[in-house]
Amino acid sequence: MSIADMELKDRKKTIRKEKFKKRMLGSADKRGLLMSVVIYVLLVTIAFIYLYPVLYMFSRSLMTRSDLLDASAKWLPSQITGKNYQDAILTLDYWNSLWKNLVLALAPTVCQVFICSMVGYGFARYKFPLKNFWMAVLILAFLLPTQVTSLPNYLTFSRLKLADGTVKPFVITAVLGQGFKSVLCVLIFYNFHRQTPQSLVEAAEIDGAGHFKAYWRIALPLCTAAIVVVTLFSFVWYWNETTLVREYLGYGHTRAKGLTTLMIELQKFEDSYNTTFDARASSVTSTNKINDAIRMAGTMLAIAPLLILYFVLQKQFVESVDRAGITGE
Amino acid sequence: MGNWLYEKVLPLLEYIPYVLLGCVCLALIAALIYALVRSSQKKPVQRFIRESLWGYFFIFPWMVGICIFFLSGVADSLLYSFYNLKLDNGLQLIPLTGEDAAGNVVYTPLANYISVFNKELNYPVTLANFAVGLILQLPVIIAFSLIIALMLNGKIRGRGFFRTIFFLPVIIATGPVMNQLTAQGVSSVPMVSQNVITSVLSGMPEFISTPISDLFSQLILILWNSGIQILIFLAGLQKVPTAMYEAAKIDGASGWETFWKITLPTLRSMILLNSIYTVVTLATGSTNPIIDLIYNATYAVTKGYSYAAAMTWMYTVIVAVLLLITFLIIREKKEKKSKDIWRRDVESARRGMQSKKVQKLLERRKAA
Amino acid sequence: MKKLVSLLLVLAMALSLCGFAAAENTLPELNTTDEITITFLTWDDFELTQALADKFHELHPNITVEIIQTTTGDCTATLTNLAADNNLPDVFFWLDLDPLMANPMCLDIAPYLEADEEAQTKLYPSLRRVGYVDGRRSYFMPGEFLPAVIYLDKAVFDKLNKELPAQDWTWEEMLDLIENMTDPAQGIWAYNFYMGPVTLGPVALTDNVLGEFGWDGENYHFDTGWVEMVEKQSEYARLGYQALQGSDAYLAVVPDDMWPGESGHVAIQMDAYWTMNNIYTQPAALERGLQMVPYNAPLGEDTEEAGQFGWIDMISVSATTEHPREAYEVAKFLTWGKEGWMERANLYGTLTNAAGDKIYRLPGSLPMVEDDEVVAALSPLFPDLGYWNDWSDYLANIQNPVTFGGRTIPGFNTFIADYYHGSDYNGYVGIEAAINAGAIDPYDYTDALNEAGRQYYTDAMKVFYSVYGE
Repeated sequence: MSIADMELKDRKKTIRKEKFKKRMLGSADKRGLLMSVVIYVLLVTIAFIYLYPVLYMFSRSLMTRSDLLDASAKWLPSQITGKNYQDAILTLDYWNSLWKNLVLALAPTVCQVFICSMVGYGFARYKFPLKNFWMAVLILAFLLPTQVTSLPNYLTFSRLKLADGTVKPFVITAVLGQGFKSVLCVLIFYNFHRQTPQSLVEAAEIDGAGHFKAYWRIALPLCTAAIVVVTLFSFVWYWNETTLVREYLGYGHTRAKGLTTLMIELQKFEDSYNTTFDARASSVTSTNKINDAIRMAGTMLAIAPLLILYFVLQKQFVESVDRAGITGE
Repeated sequence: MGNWLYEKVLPLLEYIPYVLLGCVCLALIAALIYALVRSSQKKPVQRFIRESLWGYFFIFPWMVGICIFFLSGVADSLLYSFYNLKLDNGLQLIPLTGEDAAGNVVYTPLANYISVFNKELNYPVTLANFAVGLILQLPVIIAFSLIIALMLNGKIRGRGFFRTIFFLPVIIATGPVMNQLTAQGVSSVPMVSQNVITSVLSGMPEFISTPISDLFSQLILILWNSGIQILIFLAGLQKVPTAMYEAAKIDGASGWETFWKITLPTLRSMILLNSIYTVVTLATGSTNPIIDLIYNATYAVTKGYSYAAAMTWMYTVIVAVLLLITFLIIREKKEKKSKDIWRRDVESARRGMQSKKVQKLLERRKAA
Repeated sequence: MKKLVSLLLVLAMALSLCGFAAAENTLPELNTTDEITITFLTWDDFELTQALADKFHELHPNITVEIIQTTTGDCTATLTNLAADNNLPDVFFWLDLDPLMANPMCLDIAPYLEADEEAQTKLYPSLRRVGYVDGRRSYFMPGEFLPAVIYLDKAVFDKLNKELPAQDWTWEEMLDLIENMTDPAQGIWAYNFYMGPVTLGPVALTDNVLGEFGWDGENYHFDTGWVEMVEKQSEYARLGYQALQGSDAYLAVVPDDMWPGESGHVAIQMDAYWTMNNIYTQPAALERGLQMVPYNAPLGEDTEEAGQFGWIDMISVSATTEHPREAYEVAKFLTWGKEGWMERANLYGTLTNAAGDKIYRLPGSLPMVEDDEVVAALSPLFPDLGYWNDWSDYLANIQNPVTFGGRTIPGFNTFIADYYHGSDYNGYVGIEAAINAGAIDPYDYTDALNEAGRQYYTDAMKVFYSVYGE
């Protein structure tokens, strides 16, 4: 074997090595196999942790009574039944509650997203006197534990006669930028608007578009992702909240005739003694197994609208990337 | 002193938010009139006034709301902390009194604050524990949620499916659903066996192993509590201009380099936002032992609402300091110099990429 | 003229005396003409409360009961908000006594209780005076009762050739069983608990007990039951009598680390009434060979008027109610009153949800009145277990229920949080932690605990007197 041959072999070897390395670790434009494996393993593991309780709930909500009472059928129902769902729909008065709940959650969410995006834009785009003061107030509203202001806030509500069992208090607070966790929404929008190149907005303003139009036509479309996220968050918060909803509706109004939410209806299911005494010590909680399946089915039904909403909205993430690619830098 | 406070100062406290709101509104009206009357002039003063007016136009509803619904509550709760609050046919505020050295009855408005120091012996220890836990958890939560967001943003199969699943913690951790699940004992997934960790850590010195095993035991909890952060990062990633990635690719930068030089600088403000959010939720969440102390004090017969209000205010100051420290650590160093906050992020990202090759390539592209 | 006047005066006096005497012995008549609405705050099952309220309305057509639904988590904050707004519900359940002692929110219902024969004779003796905070005035009464239940596994007893004790067993018998029933060879632990000897013991071993830790109305008695039981409880854990979930020994026998009470490896499970739902409505538990027999908490052999620990939620009438008499009647009917309880027993057996499923598989709570008719109505609602069916015997052995200090003793919660669990004991935070670690001898601390408890109580009562008047 000549030296040249050996060199050639060596080179081939290194090329093969390189290729292997490239395939495993990836290059600038392609992810390597190893990296892919790591990513999928991580994603699947964590997804499993998040899915586990939901799957558990789902499988139990499909079980028949005999399955539920049988310890060996912990996961898979031997026979699938829709009766729990039928029962849950009846007990929660589902379609009626769902409709009321949609009104209670959607109306303030829409207001909250709009107002918070405006406020975030105002803070990010303009310089004005007392701006730092108002920013400090915003942060204070974020970090002050709610325990300290809940009583005076309730009194303000009562003085203004807001809690009248309608959707009014939800909308009014949201329009005035004081919806559930509105501070976080403002901060998210503030961050996004800050990243919008000012030259774009200024150009529009100089073109005579006016300040509001520049915000509406240029700045807002550039932060679709923020709109998606804030819409999702607000909707979930309004959907899941029970303590404040009771307060906003006026404590007497949360009965069948007034407005209600699915979570409040779901809470009626709960055995009161689960919550009272569990905090004190750890023993098994009372489970009335028969109602348990209905409760699981009810919980699934209660979070289903949220999941559907998210699945629809998450597609916007991809679109907004492209849009930013076109109009952005 | 106490007398003067109770008679002259404290009763005014309630009006501050409304007076503030009124003054700002009056100033705005005056500025509006001025701007309308002398609109033709293009002086810096004019510009400044127009900018301010537009700024206030955008924040106006929020400003009104925060004065009515938040600042008034803040003023009230501050007020309560200087009194003894009784629920007797509505809400009664009783001035705090004590005896001076000569045995005379005197007003002592600060008594609640002083007795927090005297009575809450567990307060400092709980606070220190909380601070240590915060320092350990914050980087883990931020790093974890950033990694997840990056993965969810990449080209993976079943992206919509994965994204939907990673939204679950947002739905579940904030609602009564969580209670349902913990009642069923399913939220503690047996993923990380405690025993394995303990045996691994047994060789280490205690001051290292204890916090680490604590962290692991809270891993599941951290997973469940980072849903919001993941989504904020995911949304933030949509803001990274795709052109920059393309330029980097042409430059031959590896994925690792692209991450450090483009993605991370662009996400810096999101990291700051997420850190603030995480600190605040950890500090004010119902699982925080200090919030527990405050809650207990609120309904304790010898302490009461006013005392708890004083406690909360002291705690708020501490959390604010913690937040300030977080802010100072994470915020960009250049922020001090650069006044134009608008271009900063994009520019700094680009600065990272400023190789001549890229510039040339971009120029050639433009020319073509 | 003078004679006439004096005659009239005497007559008037006699009449008023008559009236006074009458008022002292019987309750004033309910208003039957005006339309009255009584608001009722509860976290109990909505369907059940609504059904009881409807029944009350049926009996008193001019009185409507309006239910304000809350949760245990929101209850205290809701009450505070409503009180601050001067809009308290007429009748309300509550969770902690202390905020009510610090604010004059409750009505003194002693005149009604004292004029109510049922309250004086039918209520369990320990519950008759439970709301008498200062001995003269009563600010609350029992609302819902769930006793502590001690489950003895007959299958395990059979395995060890032991006889089950009688339903009226004693505390000493129980300790004897705990100390002699552990058999590692067969994988059997003597006991496990939710609320252990430290909670149940002081109540069972103190004479004339009214509250937790041997509370007698004025003093705690840490020296009677507590000091022995706190030592025993930590000793039992050390000696391996207690099945400890997650411990190596337990995992070796029960690899899936299930709740010991259902594992079939524990002879005595000290637990609560609501656990029956898990044990008796799950054939799976029975299929594993579990034969749980319910017992009431035993009383000390030589203890006079001892109590049995249980969970009792209290109920109050608002100090600002416009219809105190009617509010009292509503509160009584929807909680402990016999008339209401007969209806409640009926509802426990028949109530269904909108889908037509029975809501209760077992009675949701137990009566607070001693009455054969109530027991007779209740007994058939419990399942025949096959191996055991003496439910009326079980129900008859409930006596003198005593509940958490936080429900009945002013200042208790602060005492426990700040002193008992919060102080430093020889380098440990909390006395139980120090005892479990063997750092201190509990006998050295009984006087200090009695004294400190007394101090917290006195401080709380000072606040109470300043708020409700001397």
